[in-house]
Amino acid sequence: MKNMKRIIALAMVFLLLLTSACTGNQNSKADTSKAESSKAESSKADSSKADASTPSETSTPEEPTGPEPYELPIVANKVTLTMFSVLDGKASVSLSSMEENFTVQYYEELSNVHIQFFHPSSATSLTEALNTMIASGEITDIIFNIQSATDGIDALISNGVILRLNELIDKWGYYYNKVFEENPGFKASVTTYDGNIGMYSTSRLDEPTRFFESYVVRKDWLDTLKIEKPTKVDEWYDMLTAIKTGDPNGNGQADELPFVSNSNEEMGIYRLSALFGFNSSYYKQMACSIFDGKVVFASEAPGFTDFVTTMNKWYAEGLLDPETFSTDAAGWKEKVLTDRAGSFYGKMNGGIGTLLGSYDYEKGDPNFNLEPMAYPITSEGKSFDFFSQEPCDNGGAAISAKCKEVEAAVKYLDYMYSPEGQIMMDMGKEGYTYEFDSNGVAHYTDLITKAEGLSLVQAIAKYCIGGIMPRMVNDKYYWDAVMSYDQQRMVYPTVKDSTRERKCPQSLKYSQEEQSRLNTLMADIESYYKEGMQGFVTGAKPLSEVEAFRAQLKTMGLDEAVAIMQAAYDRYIAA
Amino acid sequence: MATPKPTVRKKSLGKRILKDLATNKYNYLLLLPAILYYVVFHYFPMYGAQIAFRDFYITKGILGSKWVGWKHFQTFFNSFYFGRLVRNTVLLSGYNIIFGFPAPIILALLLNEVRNQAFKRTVQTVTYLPHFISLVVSCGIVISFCRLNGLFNDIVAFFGKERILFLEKKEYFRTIYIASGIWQEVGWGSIIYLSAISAIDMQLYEAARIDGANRFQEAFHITIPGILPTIVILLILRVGRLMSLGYEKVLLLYNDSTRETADIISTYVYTRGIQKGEYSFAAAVDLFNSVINMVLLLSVNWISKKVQGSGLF
Amino acid sequence: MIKRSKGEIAFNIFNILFLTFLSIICLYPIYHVLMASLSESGPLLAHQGLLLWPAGFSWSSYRVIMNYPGIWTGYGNTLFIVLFGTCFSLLITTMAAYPLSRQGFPARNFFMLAITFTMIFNGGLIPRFLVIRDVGLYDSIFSLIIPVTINTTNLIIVRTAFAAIPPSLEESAKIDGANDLIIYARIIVPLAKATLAVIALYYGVAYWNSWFTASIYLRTRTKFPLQLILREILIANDNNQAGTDTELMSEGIKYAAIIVSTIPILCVYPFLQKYFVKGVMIGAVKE
Repeated sequence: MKNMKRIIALAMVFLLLLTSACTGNQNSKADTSKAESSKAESSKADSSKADASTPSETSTPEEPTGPEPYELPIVANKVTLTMFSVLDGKASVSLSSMEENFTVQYYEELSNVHIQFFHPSSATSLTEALNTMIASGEITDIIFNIQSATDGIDALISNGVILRLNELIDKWGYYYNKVFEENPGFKASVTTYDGNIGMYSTSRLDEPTRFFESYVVRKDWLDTLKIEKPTKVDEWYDMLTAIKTGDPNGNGQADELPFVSNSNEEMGIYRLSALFGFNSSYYKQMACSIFDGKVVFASEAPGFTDFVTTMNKWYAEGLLDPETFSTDAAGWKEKVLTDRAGSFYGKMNGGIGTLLGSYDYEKGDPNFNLEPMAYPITSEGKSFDFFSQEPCDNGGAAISAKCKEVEAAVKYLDYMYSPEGQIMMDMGKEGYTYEFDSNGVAHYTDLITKAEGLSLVQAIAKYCIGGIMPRMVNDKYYWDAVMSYDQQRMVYPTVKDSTRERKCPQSLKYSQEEQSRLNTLMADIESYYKEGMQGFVTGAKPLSEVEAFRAQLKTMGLDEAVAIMQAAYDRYIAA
Repeated sequence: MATPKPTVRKKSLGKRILKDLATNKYNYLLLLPAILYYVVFHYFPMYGAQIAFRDFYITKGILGSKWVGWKHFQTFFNSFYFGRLVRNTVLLSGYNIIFGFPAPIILALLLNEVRNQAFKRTVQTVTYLPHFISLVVSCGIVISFCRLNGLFNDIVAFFGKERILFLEKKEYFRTIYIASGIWQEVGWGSIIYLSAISAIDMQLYEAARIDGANRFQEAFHITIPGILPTIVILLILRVGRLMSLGYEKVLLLYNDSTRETADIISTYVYTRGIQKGEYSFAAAVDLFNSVINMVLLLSVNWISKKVQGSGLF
Repeated sequence: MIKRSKGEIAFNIFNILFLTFLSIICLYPIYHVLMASLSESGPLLAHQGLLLWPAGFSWSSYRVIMNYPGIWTGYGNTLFIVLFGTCFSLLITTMAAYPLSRQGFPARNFFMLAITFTMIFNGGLIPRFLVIRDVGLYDSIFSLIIPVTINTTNLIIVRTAFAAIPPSLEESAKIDGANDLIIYARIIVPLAKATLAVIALYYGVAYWNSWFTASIYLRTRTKFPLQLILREILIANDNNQAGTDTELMSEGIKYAAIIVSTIPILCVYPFLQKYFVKGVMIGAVKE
């Protein structure tokens, strides 16, 4: 019985592989010209950078066909690889190691690759765990989250800690190479300053998975007040004022806080600068935006004075939470759940679900409703998005220079990029952890959706690798399952049409020297910038000092820092 | 300091050491495990402090990393915030000693005056409980009390005053920090003094009573002098850590509005050195702190020896 | 009975009131944690002000904690670390404190300076890590004990207590032919019992609470001590970024974890208390 299932599963995988291989080849033919031109670009770097850590047989001459497709199992006889990877909090509720995870075991069955996990304690920072591992010289074959190591990818490669993957991908990385071909710019995003590819990057290939942040509003309040979601800045002002004065929570007191934020910058008022057409959030690309090909720091952006003046006015009128700069996560949530918060900036992919769930649960109020709002249209007639994600994450998995089974390691990671691999990672095994419905949409089975004593994401983490490490692609099936409220799913259509022309790309590449200079310069600038913003908004600092504030930032080396970023941006555009 | 004072002039140093080893053989024997411990786990890793003078890269190792001399010290001294950081550290740490250090002593003295043993034990046990609540949680409680609709503001409002943004006013930060510190540590800190009090010879009290001393006189003339050596030693150690105030609690309590008074050296190093992995920079600041701490410790020790005749060494 | 002045009576009343007040505010945090651990997550999130009763009663947090992987092995590991570590540390610390407290030991100032120096200067995390790996302690439970055997502050406190013991006792023992080992074991250690009880408590609590060293020096999860597991639970639950894609475990879980991991060590104190209350008790009896 069991064997029968296994054979069927294998047969299916084989079939899928065949079909995808065919389509893959077609694609690659169509894209050959593009691929070749980008290859020609990178080949300069390739040839100059090929170093001792690269196995000699991989320095093959340019072949237009690229890597060969392959089939599972990856290796004929079972091999064991060690892997450094975090044990997510969602998984650690039920597993003491990812070796116990169903999908990891299932993948082992299919691939003949056994993974021995080294999970660092989540109590220490990943950086610390990685650094000590590197310092000790006992490095696992595959290293997830390599981006958290203090030394950059280039240093790790040139000092013989991890392998340069460019040639290895050309040889074995069939599916990753396909991603390069199908997503222009992807290869450039994963290639370092020195022209190395050091890791298999995690990614968000499916467009909807890149959009989960937006402004959020109490839709039921807007309905009570009979106003629409605002699309322009002055409509925003009207909405906030209406919430302040219209008593939408109906308790007879003007205790509503029209816009609440949290001292954590990610959720703070910095996100409101999109109303003025620039990015002021330091957390995102160090508060920089792109104006006509020029990197511009927030304080130099055209809308800056307008922004701080408006925020100052709104704060004084009580439209912004007076505790804007000191509210912690708990306080922020309390405000939402005690019927005082009108709008805020949030992530729709989990937290909002929790809020909707908690509120339902406590008050049983069917009207409580949070909905995403679009980025408003600025005075320039456009709506700007600075906060969505890009296809390629900054993180990923590297392969140790001491790894003995390089081919198995490359293919183990590479297969996660195959269409079958993607669905397997996030959904597990068909017929056991998921099933397709009549429309061809995959759903988790009751095993997961009705798991005893576990929440949905915890159950997914127990059986599958959706939303946790080690996997490569943020899969849309997982996304669909986790976005359990319609309001959460509204976020993609709501924000996708905004322009991203001023968004500074997240993967600018710096040399080691540039990076360290930038860190040194930006350390003090960041503090000064944030303290100044706080002062202007709350009125602790008079608005007449905005000019002096700008000048002070310049004396702290802002121009030099921006010049470093500009150079990186120019390289990015040229690539 | 390093060599024992010569007792007999004419003998050579080697002979004197040999003689010392022979007469004190049991002392050295008892000390041996501690010496091993300090050499292996403290002195041996100390070579690592040199990364303060290098551009340390993990992949290159300590000796392979480039020697850059005083570069990281200069970065720190030239930082826009250097003056503010030093001032904030000294003030926060200094106030913490002025108010936080005597608190457990006072509690111990007050407890000592309680005659009802059951009450005394209960108070003792209860006051030491907050020590065991992790900082994340205790600071969470403090923050929730300080909010606009928190307990403290309810009290403020009860007296008809305007509610105050305690957490966003830079002038309140130190008070909140120190008061919550006392709240959390006073009971735990008093244990050592209670034990020191219990070690005082009871005959002294009896003699005093026969002389007609009242309880205040007993406290001032017997109890406090009795625990003074403990107080002095702990004070010396505390002052010797003036510059090394932990970052965790400050990080949990501060925000952009209070940073002007709250940002201290260790939080600066944490956000910039540790989070971004700039080990060399962190090591340089650490070294700077250590040198100041050492100077302070030696000075306090010297004062203590002059004034009351004993110190650490 | 001694006659009490008015001042003394007033002081007594003030003292009792003050200490009662202090006790109440010191009791609150642990009470808060206890009540929060018994609350349901939604109501707990929405709760404002003092938490005097559980916000929606539920045992679910405790159920999760009890089933959390690693909690029970963590308990076992911590128990071993605390018991073995405290005894070992006390032994080595008192052994070292004895010679350092002797007036007749010429090298003591040199050693004291050398020891104090290590309180202030250190080599940093990575060299320390490399030493621990080189002596073969990496991923061993002893890496949580041996590298922190002596806490220098504790050593100095013990030394101060030893130094306060009148030298006459030692001298008479010497005349009777006792060597330093015997004086240490038979005279000094028993006489400093009150201080040693405190130091035992300090070491015990430090071992009980330590998690950072474990997070760096241990690789195998079955060797993790309780506090490290607790720390991970706290961090998994510390949703600083209200609304990242980690769905919360019930907020109460972190509080339940604190209760589960602190209650045992809290129980130790009353047992140690008697050692240093005794001195006063004897006095009271004599009175």
